[in-house]
Amino acid sequence: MTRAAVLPALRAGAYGRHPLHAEDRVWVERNCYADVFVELLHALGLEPRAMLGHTAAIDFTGDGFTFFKPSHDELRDLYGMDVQELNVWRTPLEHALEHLGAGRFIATEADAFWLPDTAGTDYRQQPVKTTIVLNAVDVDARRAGYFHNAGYFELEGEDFDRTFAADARPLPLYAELVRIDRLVRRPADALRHLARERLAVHAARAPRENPVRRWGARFALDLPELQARGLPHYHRWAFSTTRQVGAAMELLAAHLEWLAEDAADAPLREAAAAFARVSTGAKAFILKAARAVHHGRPLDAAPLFDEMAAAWDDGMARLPGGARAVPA
Amino acid sequence: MTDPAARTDAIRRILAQHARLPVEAAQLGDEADLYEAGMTSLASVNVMLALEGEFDVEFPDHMLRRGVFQSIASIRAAVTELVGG
Repeated sequence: MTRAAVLPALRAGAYGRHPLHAEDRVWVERNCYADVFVELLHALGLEPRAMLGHTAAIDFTGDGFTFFKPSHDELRDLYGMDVQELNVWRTPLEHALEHLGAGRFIATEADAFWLPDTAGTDYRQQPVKTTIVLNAVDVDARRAGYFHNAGYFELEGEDFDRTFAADARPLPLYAELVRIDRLVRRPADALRHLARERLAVHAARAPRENPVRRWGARFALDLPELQARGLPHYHRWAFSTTRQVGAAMELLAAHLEWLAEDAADAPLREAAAAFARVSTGAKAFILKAARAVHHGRPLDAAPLFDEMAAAWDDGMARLPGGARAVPA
Repeated sequence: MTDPAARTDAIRRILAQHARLPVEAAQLGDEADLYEAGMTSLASVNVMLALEGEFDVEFPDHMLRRGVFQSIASIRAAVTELVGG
């Protein structure tokens, strides 16, 4: 066998992204793992907004926010999707032919240097670890189809050779098998019911102290170093901080709006609006802080952090299962 | 710089230098979606900084949105609002 595909009809040029990745979103690309599972679920005809409650638990950990992603339990309980580590002992292509041919996707680390969808950032510019989900390989044509970030793409030629090179790295890449043979397609109301139960679990895991406020305090301390190290360093810092929390809050808002679609649930809608304010605030902040770093000028970001932190408190107080009081 | 054509030329030049598009900025229509054309969020930050330097303006907070940098036309409208003309 030299060709295999789980979803053979997928074509990069004809692929329709999920609305979570529409160009009018505040953050189109969030983090590679969360993004790629949104699109994988979408391509399978499942509702990715159901699994976004996990974003409520995002926390600030000093040099970044937690890199949010759906847990394996979440994917199995909501959709019957089974994700487990793949023991990588054969060449990447042998594994791909085996598993794609049997209807199992492979989610694998990859080097964005060889991923043409990252033209403009990493493609042929710099090595960057990312996660893709392989859907199709054709060894003779040296071509592969893969989910990455906000879409579905194809690579070929040298990009194919290097992506599937067996001996390019000192250690094998981390990879996961994604089994879909026991998918569960729940009616929308049943999926909402389940997701609402899980949201309470996620809300209970949310940080006890406001993470946005702690981040603001740390930023005030870190700004001189960010200015000293310049924009390329700032962009990496901002990906780990501003983008993660801004994107998580946008996804949380989308989750809550979806939960409230079939019910007159004012607290959920109000919580969604509050988390959306954190998201848009973070978008303004990523640009304001870039300016401060670029020009070396002081930046009093306290008012913006105060607004975002208050919005986080406001949203958390309205989540089901949230123990916090609604602020006065 | 109040001439709309000169302003548009300056915006195209900044996009050519900073947007890292896989297409020539000169070939983009005024309404073409720059993100769909390949401009990343990271590149848009550099575009914003270059625009502020070129036109000697500072985008106020309410303009620090993705949509403001979505097309040549939207950038030009924002710059025009700030510098007049």
